[in-house]
Amino acid sequence: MKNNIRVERARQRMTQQELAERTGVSRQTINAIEQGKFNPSTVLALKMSLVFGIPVNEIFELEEGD
Amino acid sequence: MKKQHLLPHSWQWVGLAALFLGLIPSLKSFIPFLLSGSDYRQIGVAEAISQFGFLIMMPLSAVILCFSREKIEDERIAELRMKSLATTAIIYVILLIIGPLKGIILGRLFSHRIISNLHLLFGHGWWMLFIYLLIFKISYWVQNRRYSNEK
Repeated sequence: MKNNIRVERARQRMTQQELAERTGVSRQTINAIEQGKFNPSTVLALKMSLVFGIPVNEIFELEEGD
Repeated sequence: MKKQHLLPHSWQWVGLAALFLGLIPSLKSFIPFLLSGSDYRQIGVAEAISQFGFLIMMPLSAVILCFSREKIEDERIAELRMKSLATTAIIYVILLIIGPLKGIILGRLFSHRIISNLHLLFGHGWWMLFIYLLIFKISYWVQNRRYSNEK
Protein backbone atom coordinates (compact mmCIF):
# COMPACT_ATOMS: atom_id res chain seq x y z
CA MET A 1 0.00 0.00 0.00
CA LYS A 2 1.37 3.40 -1.03
CA ASN A 3 0.88 6.52 1.04
CA ASN A 4 1.36 10.26 0.66
CA ILE A 5 1.93 11.05 4.32
CA ARG A 6 5.36 12.59 3.76
CA VAL A 7 4.00 14.82 0.99
CA GLU A 8 1.00 15.88 3.07
CA ARG A 9 3.22 16.56 6.08
CA ALA A 10 5.52 18.69 3.97
CA ARG A 11 2.54 20.54 2.53
CA GLN A 12 1.21 21.30 6.00
CA ARG A 13 4.72 21.93 7.43
CA MET A 14 4.24 19.26 10.07
CA THR A 15 6.99 17.16 11.65
CA GLN A 16 6.68 13.41 12.27
CA GLN A 17 6.63 14.19 16.00
CA GLU A 18 3.67 16.57 15.63
CA LEU A 19 1.73 14.05 13.55
CA ALA A 20 2.58 11.31 16.05
CA GLU A 21 1.33 13.40 18.98
CA ARG A 22 -1.90 14.29 17.19
CA THR A 23 -2.64 10.68 16.26
CA GLY A 24 -1.49 9.12 19.55
CA VAL A 25 1.31 6.93 18.24
CA SER A 26 5.11 7.09 18.42
CA ARG A 27 7.26 9.00 15.92
CA GLN A 28 8.89 5.72 14.95
CA THR A 29 5.47 4.34 13.98
CA ILE A 30 4.83 7.35 11.71
CA ASN A 31 8.26 6.79 10.15
CA ALA A 32 7.53 3.08 9.63
CA ILE A 33 4.21 3.92 7.93
CA GLU A 34 5.87 6.54 5.70
CA GLN A 35 8.48 4.00 4.64
CA GLY A 36 5.73 1.49 3.82
CA LYS A 37 7.01 -0.98 6.41
CA PHE A 38 3.88 -0.91 8.54
CA ASN A 39 0.24 -0.69 7.49
CA PRO A 40 -1.85 1.37 9.91
CA SER A 41 -5.22 0.26 11.23
CA THR A 42 -8.42 1.83 9.88
CA VAL A 43 -8.71 3.90 13.05
CA LEU A 44 -5.21 5.36 12.68
CA ALA A 45 -5.76 6.00 8.96
CA LEU A 46 -8.99 7.88 9.78
CA LYS A 47 -7.19 9.90 12.46
CA MET A 48 -4.56 10.92 9.91
CA SER A 49 -7.30 11.83 7.50
CA LEU A 50 -8.81 14.10 10.17
CA VAL A 51 -5.45 15.70 10.99
CA PHE A 52 -4.66 16.42 7.32
CA GLY A 53 -8.25 17.34 6.49
CA ILE A 54 -8.39 15.17 3.37
CA PRO A 55 -10.14 11.84 2.62
CA VAL A 56 -8.36 8.59 3.52
CA ASN A 57 -8.12 7.48 -0.11
CA GLU A 58 -6.06 10.58 -0.88
CA ILE A 59 -3.51 9.54 1.73
CA PHE A 60 -3.43 5.79 1.12
CA GLU A 61 -3.81 3.94 -2.15
CA LEU A 62 -3.59 0.30 -3.13
CA GLU A 63 -0.70 -0.95 -5.22
CA GLU A 64 -0.69 -3.79 -7.72
CA GLY A 65 -0.51 -7.07 -5.84
CA ASP A 66 -2.29 -5.74 -2.73
CA MET B 1 -7.86 1.75 19.02
CA LYS B 2 -8.59 -1.16 21.31
CA LYS B 3 -7.69 -0.67 24.95
CA GLN B 4 -4.79 -2.85 26.01
CA HIS B 5 -4.89 -4.35 29.46
CA LEU B 6 -1.27 -3.91 30.46
CA LEU B 7 0.43 -2.70 33.62
CA PRO B 8 1.81 0.87 33.63
CA HIS B 9 5.31 1.43 32.21
CA SER B 10 6.75 2.14 35.68
CA TRP B 11 6.03 -1.49 36.64
CA GLN B 12 8.98 -2.50 34.50
CA TRP B 13 11.19 -1.26 37.35
CA VAL B 14 9.26 -3.49 39.77
CA GLY B 15 9.78 -6.40 37.37
CA LEU B 16 13.50 -5.69 37.11
CA ALA B 17 13.78 -5.51 40.92
CA ALA B 18 11.98 -8.88 41.23
CA LEU B 19 14.25 -10.33 38.55
CA PHE B 20 17.31 -9.10 40.45
CA LEU B 21 15.98 -10.58 43.71
CA GLY B 22 15.32 -13.90 41.97
CA LEU B 23 18.43 -14.05 39.84
CA ILE B 24 21.11 -13.33 42.46
CA PRO B 25 20.28 -16.22 44.87
CA SER B 26 19.63 -18.49 41.90
CA LEU B 27 22.98 -17.81 40.31
CA LYS B 28 24.72 -17.92 43.68
CA SER B 29 23.67 -21.38 44.76
CA PHE B 30 20.65 -22.97 43.11
CA ILE B 31 21.98 -23.44 39.58
CA PRO B 32 25.47 -24.60 40.72
CA PHE B 33 23.65 -26.96 43.12
CA LEU B 34 21.63 -28.44 40.26
CA LEU B 35 24.65 -28.76 38.03
CA SER B 36 26.70 -30.39 40.81
CA GLY B 37 24.68 -33.55 40.33
CA SER B 38 23.15 -33.53 43.84
CA ASP B 39 19.64 -34.84 44.34
CA TYR B 40 17.27 -31.86 44.20
CA ARG B 41 14.85 -33.63 46.57
CA GLN B 42 17.42 -33.21 49.34
CA ILE B 43 17.49 -29.42 49.20
CA GLY B 44 18.16 -27.94 52.65
CA VAL B 45 17.18 -24.66 54.31
CA ALA B 46 20.01 -22.72 52.65
CA GLU B 47 18.87 -23.78 49.23
CA ALA B 48 15.25 -23.03 50.08
CA ILE B 49 15.99 -19.29 49.86
CA SER B 50 17.53 -19.64 46.43
CA GLN B 51 14.70 -21.94 45.44
CA PHE B 52 12.27 -19.20 46.50
CA GLY B 53 14.17 -16.75 44.33
CA PHE B 54 14.24 -19.13 41.41
CA LEU B 55 10.74 -20.54 41.56
CA ILE B 56 8.77 -17.53 42.86
CA MET B 57 10.58 -14.28 42.11
CA MET B 58 11.78 -15.12 38.60
CA PRO B 59 8.37 -16.23 37.24
CA LEU B 60 6.82 -13.21 38.98
CA SER B 61 9.34 -10.85 37.38
CA ALA B 62 8.78 -12.49 33.99
CA VAL B 63 5.02 -11.92 34.23
CA ILE B 64 5.45 -8.28 35.32
CA LEU B 65 8.02 -7.51 32.61
CA CYS B 66 5.95 -9.21 29.90
CA PHE B 67 2.71 -7.46 30.81
CA SER B 68 3.90 -3.91 31.44
CA ARG B 69 3.58 -1.19 28.83
CA GLU B 70 6.34 0.38 26.84
CA LYS B 71 6.68 4.20 26.96
CA ILE B 72 4.39 4.57 23.94
CA GLU B 73 2.25 1.51 23.42
CA ASP B 74 0.72 1.83 19.96
CA GLU B 75 -0.49 -0.57 17.29
CA ARG B 76 3.02 -1.16 15.88
CA ILE B 77 4.12 -2.33 19.33
CA ALA B 78 0.96 -4.45 19.65
CA GLU B 79 1.85 -6.13 16.33
CA LEU B 80 5.41 -6.64 17.55
CA ARG B 81 4.05 -8.30 20.70
CA MET B 82 1.91 -10.65 18.62
CA LYS B 83 4.83 -11.59 16.35
CA SER B 84 7.08 -12.21 19.37
CA LEU B 85 4.38 -14.37 20.94
CA ALA B 86 4.00 -16.39 17.72
CA THR B 87 7.78 -16.92 17.50
CA THR B 88 7.87 -17.99 21.16
CA ALA B 89 5.08 -20.51 20.52
CA ILE B 90 7.05 -21.98 17.60
CA ILE B 91 10.20 -22.24 19.77
CA TYR B 92 8.16 -23.92 22.52
CA VAL B 93 6.77 -26.52 20.10
CA ILE B 94 10.28 -27.21 18.76
CA LEU B 95 11.57 -27.65 22.34
CA LEU B 96 8.67 -30.01 23.07
CA ILE B 97 9.57 -32.08 20.03
CA ILE B 98 13.30 -32.24 20.68
CA GLY B 99 12.80 -32.61 24.47
CA PRO B 100 12.70 -36.42 24.47
CA LEU B 101 15.93 -36.47 22.44
CA LYS B 102 17.73 -34.47 25.13
CA GLY B 103 18.32 -37.51 27.32
CA ILE B 104 19.76 -39.51 24.44
CA ILE B 105 22.12 -36.73 23.32
CA LEU B 106 23.20 -35.50 26.77
CA GLY B 107 23.26 -39.01 28.23
CA ARG B 108 26.49 -39.65 26.40
CA LEU B 109 28.11 -36.56 27.93
CA PHE B 110 26.73 -36.13 31.47
CA SER B 111 25.52 -38.26 34.39
CA HIS B 112 21.87 -39.22 34.79
CA ARG B 113 21.53 -36.93 37.83
CA ILE B 114 22.66 -33.80 35.96
CA ILE B 115 20.20 -34.55 33.14
CA SER B 116 17.45 -35.00 35.71
CA ASN B 117 18.33 -31.65 37.29
CA LEU B 118 18.49 -29.96 33.88
CA HIS B 119 14.98 -31.23 33.33
CA LEU B 120 13.93 -29.51 36.58
CA LEU B 121 15.61 -26.32 35.40
CA PHE B 122 14.14 -26.20 31.91
CA GLY B 123 10.96 -28.10 32.58
CA HIS B 124 9.21 -24.96 33.79
CA GLY B 125 7.02 -23.36 31.16
CA TRP B 126 7.60 -19.86 32.53
CA TRP B 127 11.02 -19.84 30.86
CA MET B 128 9.03 -19.17 27.70
CA LEU B 129 8.05 -15.79 29.13
CA PHE B 130 11.73 -14.87 29.18
CA ILE B 131 12.14 -16.15 25.62
CA TYR B 132 9.16 -13.98 24.62
CA LEU B 133 10.65 -11.02 26.50
CA LEU B 134 14.02 -11.48 24.81
CA ILE B 135 12.49 -11.67 21.31
CA PHE B 136 10.17 -8.73 21.96
CA LYS B 137 12.80 -6.44 23.50
CA ILE B 138 15.36 -7.14 20.76
CA SER B 139 12.75 -6.55 18.01
CA TYR B 140 11.57 -3.39 19.80
CA TRP B 141 15.11 -2.04 20.05
CA VAL B 142 15.95 -2.93 16.43
CA GLN B 143 12.73 -1.36 15.06
CA ASN B 144 13.09 1.80 17.13
CA ARG B 145 16.66 2.24 15.92
CA ARG B 146 15.62 1.60 12.32
CA TYR B 147 12.77 4.11 12.41
CA SER B 148 14.33 6.73 14.66
CA ASN B 149 15.78 8.93 11.91
CA GLU B 150 13.28 11.35 10.44
CA LYS B 151 13.63 11.56 6.65
